Amino acid sequence: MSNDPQSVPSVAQVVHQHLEKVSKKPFGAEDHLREDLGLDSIRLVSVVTRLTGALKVSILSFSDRDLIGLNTVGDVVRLFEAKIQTQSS
Amino acid sequence: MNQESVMVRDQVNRMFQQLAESQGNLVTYRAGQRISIPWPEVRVDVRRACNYLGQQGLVAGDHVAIQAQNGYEWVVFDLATLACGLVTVPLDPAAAYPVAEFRERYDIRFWLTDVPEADGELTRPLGEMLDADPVGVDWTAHVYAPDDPVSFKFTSGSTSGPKAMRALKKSVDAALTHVQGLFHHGPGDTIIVFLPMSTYQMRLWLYSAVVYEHDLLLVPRSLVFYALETEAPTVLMGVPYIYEAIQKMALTAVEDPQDAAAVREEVQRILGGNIRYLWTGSAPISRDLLLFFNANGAPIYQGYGMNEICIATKNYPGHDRPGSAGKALPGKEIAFDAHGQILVRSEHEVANAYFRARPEDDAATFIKPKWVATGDIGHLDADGYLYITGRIKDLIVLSNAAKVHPNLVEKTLLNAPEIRQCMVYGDRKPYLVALIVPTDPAATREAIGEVIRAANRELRPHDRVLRFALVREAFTEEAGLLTSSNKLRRKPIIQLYQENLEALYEQ
Repeated sequence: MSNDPQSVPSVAQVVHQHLEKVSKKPFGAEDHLREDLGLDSIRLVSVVTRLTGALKVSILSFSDRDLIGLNTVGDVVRLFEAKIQTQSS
Repeated sequence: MNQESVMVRDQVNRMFQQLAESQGNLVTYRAGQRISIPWPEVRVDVRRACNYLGQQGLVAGDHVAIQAQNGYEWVVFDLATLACGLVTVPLDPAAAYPVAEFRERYDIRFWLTDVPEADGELTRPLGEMLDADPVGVDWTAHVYAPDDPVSFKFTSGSTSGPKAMRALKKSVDAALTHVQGLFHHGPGDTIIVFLPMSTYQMRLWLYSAVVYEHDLLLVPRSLVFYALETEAPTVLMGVPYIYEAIQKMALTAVEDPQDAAAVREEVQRILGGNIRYLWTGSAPISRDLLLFFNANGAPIYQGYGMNEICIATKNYPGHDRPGSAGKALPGKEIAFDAHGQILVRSEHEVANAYFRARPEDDAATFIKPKWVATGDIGHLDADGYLYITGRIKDLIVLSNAAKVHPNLVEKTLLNAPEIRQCMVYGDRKPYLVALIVPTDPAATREAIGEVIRAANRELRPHDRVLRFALVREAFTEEAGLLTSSNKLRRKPIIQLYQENLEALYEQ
């Protein structure tokens, strides 16, 4: 990856990259984690754990209630965007 | 069969005193920070909480509810209720309860919660108990009698809704004593608990940590993998689904899943690299999964129990037969009724009845003093290891009176890679039939028929599937056809495919 800031992947790109590793088929932002990607709740915890490392968000800021609200790929993106926003403010 | 060969110690009544002397720490996360607090320091907050509970006018025997995520306050609250002689009503932190109705149904005098949206008139914020002053030096902890209840336990009832029971103090002492006899936890051990503390078994690990002086690593589910990797615990208290997840994580993380050394390294990395053993229970686990962890340097021990009997059997180091649920613990006796249903006698029983249940529910489970009918079917091998083969409610009795355990037949069919899912059917019918979901949606009847004929050769005559219907749509949890642990929900499947199934008897 170059140092060009334009090449820094967006939160959505990083989330998609990580979900691609565990999903058996292509998916979009509105696809459901469980029904479409086949991701049960404990595997979602493992993906979120890795995403916190990749996106440099403190995992200790996450609660079980945050995870209960995650239904779609887009929900994961929005949750991380919100955490990054809170962390930087 | 297995008589009480080990003295049961009075653990519950010495818990408060033991806190003052116990080595080891409570490690958890609070307000975004990791905290590690020695048990004697936890005791100071327990004393505060005792004062707080007293200020609310609560007296020994009162029912107090808690609804909170795993964390420091849960521990303080729980140890305080024990010290005050109260009866805990542990509630699922993720559930929305009808507060007023629940208070009445379970005689709840007081309800502490960390759920922000809970009705503030009937519930109190959990954190406020830590603001109280400690109780005075002349204060002494409550002493429970052996048959006093210490906590509610809730169990899911498939036909009549959830049922509740109150666990007797003596059953807690027995479980602590006998599990310790098998695994010898002590200083140097760190047991990670991520399942909700509202599940009674999780709280036994808290008491074990205090009494046997080891660390308790208590985390919400969202932090389980982080905590495993960073804290390197020695024992993981788990259920099959986390082990299935870890296996998948390890096999997808390595370049070549056939590379045994790489897989082992990844499994150890996920688990933190310091595991002494893995605990599994609550649901059946596949033998292959057990062997996977055993082969990767993380011995895993399956057991058997239910809310009504607590832990009854367990494999443990030196006495491990993968695929079995282990041998009976001291004080537990295993027997079977005429249908092969497992009956368990507990010298120190959990309860003798459900709390305010229908008499028929009590009679069906608490069949005589100290004996519980489990609803599970199984057998013991010659050395006393218990094998669970199914649920009594699933037992199929053919019209010729032959009994079929559907799980065993389905397991045989599922050995064929061509079959993705299946369910056999035939209660009070002349022969067994099956619904088959083929792995390849385009598979022909002839091809699947050949697979079933091959499977039948491995089965006893009355276990053979004589006709089948192909189902092109997989059974899913979303459609209400699987449980959350991927088990078949037979009734809805039968209802959905009733016509197809009946047609198999008309041809």
